[in-house]
Amino acid sequence: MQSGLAVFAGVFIVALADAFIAGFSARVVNDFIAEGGHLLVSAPGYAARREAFPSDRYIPDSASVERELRAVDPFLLVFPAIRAAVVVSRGSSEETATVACRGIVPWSAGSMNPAYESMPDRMQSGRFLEGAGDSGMVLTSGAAKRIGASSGDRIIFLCEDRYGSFNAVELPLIGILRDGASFSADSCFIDMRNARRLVGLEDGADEIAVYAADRDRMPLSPRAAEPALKAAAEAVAGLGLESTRWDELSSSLSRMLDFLDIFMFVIYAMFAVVAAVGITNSVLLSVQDRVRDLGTLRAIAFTKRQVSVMLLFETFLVSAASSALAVLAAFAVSGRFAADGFALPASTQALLSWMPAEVRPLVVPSRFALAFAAGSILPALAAAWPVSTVNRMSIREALGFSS
Amino acid sequence: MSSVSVRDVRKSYRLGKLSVPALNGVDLFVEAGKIVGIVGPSGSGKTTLLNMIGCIDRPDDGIVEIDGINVVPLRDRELTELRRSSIGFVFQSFNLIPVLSARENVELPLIALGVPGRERKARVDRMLELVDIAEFAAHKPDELSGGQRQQVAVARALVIGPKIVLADEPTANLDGETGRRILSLMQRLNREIRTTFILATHDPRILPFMDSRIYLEDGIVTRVETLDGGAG
Repeated sequence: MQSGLAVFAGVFIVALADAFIAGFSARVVNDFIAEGGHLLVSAPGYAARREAFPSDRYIPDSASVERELRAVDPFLLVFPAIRAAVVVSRGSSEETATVACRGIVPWSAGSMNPAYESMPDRMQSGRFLEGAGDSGMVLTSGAAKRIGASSGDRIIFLCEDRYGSFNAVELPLIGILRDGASFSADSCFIDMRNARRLVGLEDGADEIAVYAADRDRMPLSPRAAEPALKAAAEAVAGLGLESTRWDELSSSLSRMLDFLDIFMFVIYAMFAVVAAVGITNSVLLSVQDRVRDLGTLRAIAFTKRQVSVMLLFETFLVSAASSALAVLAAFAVSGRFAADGFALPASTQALLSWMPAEVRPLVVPSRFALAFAAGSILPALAAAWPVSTVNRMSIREALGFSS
Repeated sequence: MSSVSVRDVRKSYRLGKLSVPALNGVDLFVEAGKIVGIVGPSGSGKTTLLNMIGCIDRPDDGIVEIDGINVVPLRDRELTELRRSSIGFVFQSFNLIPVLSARENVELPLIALGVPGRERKARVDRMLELVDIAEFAAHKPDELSGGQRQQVAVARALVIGPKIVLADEPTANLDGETGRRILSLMQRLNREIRTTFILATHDPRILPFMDSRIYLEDGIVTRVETLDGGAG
């Protein structure tokens, strides 16, 4: 009974924790993919220096690349973008701010760019870019405050273009965005047409984010996206361009997820060792409590082997039943939190930019099955030693005959 | 029916650094189909002797023969086979499995023998009827009186159809009347199915139920009495 409760508690905690970790990892990966795409297409050497805005490496004709990619797979969502460091100021004000500017296409072929789906909800004032033909700029609240800008103001952009000259473009500030986790505090987003004017790229782009999507135009999971991404990468290579997978784009994220896997494996292993010791102890006590009964069984007819099998099978049955209940309970609790989500403290997002606002547990059937199997088999293995101690006793000792 | 022969059996146990002799060269012969009492005070070696005959323990020296076969050199597995097919045990404290019903306790040896379910049920029913405990078949041991528990223990000992039943102080935990009832039951079963009963006891009230009595003191047989048919 005691070992059954211990198994139930252990399997429940491990299965539930694992569902949360799986949900967390999936959410972090999904957020990262939503932000940057499954695949980043760029000129050779661009991706490695992406954060430094290398203006000499760009895709001259992004439209033809987009057509090529859509020919490979009609379900690929393709969004070109321009990235540049720009200086912004409000009209004739002397206050300026240097911001990371993104020229974006919020909509393409009837689909919204997954990177900007949450933007309308994150507006402090004004609106985000709407539709394919919309123009204007959106500034993050920190930068807006620094230059004293508010929605409706006209903002001057100053930037070195691809020919080495300085360009200035004036755009209306259509909205102010609350500083968020998925982009730098000093950022701005402008429509692609004006971005091209600003950096002097007529039909070009710095990068093209590619999403593999389903029929509903929802981004696929990394595994499901694999065949489409492989085909897209081959097509891009044929154009003399470079493609970088999502997991190659952020080595720190990949390392973090790998570390999380290893960390959780170590935690589970430690949990298993502690559980095994506890179960061994519990079975030992249980066996010692019944040593006279076991001696009686051997005296009346049972072999040592039969008694061992009986005890191990009993332990297995209790453990399997407890594990099954624990997995069901973990499934129910996971379902409850999967519906509502589990909000993470805001401080964690402030600390780590990739930390999601909430985690929803993800039930991975194979991992639940593994928790069930471990919870059923481990106690039976842990019971082997206590059972052997009884079998080492003579029947006379087990029956409690002194002499 | 089965005869038992014990020749010059010696056994001592270690108690720390001390070697405590329990049997000092016991010789006895039990005729098949009889009720035999091994009589003696506490510590005289009765239980040790029963353990030797029941293949639960091995002597340091000497020979124990059941139906002419010396069991001393047999391996553990062979001893288990012998116990499960030929020897039934009745213990002083009944030794019923507390979580099992009376029926399940009686069924246990048949499960170990691999007897099929239908035959098992028939044999258990017959045995419960034979020991007059059928109406309590579904009761757990703690729902039975001491006498009823010992009836269940007798049924469990007899259900395999043993050649010998060994009973260690079978009446020690029972009141006088119940003890007599249990011994009457054993006597009846001995007459009906001709099983050999060997009882260890120091209770003088049950001596009239024996066909013969073997007196044991300090691990030695001091006297053997044979009666004509015992007291009915």
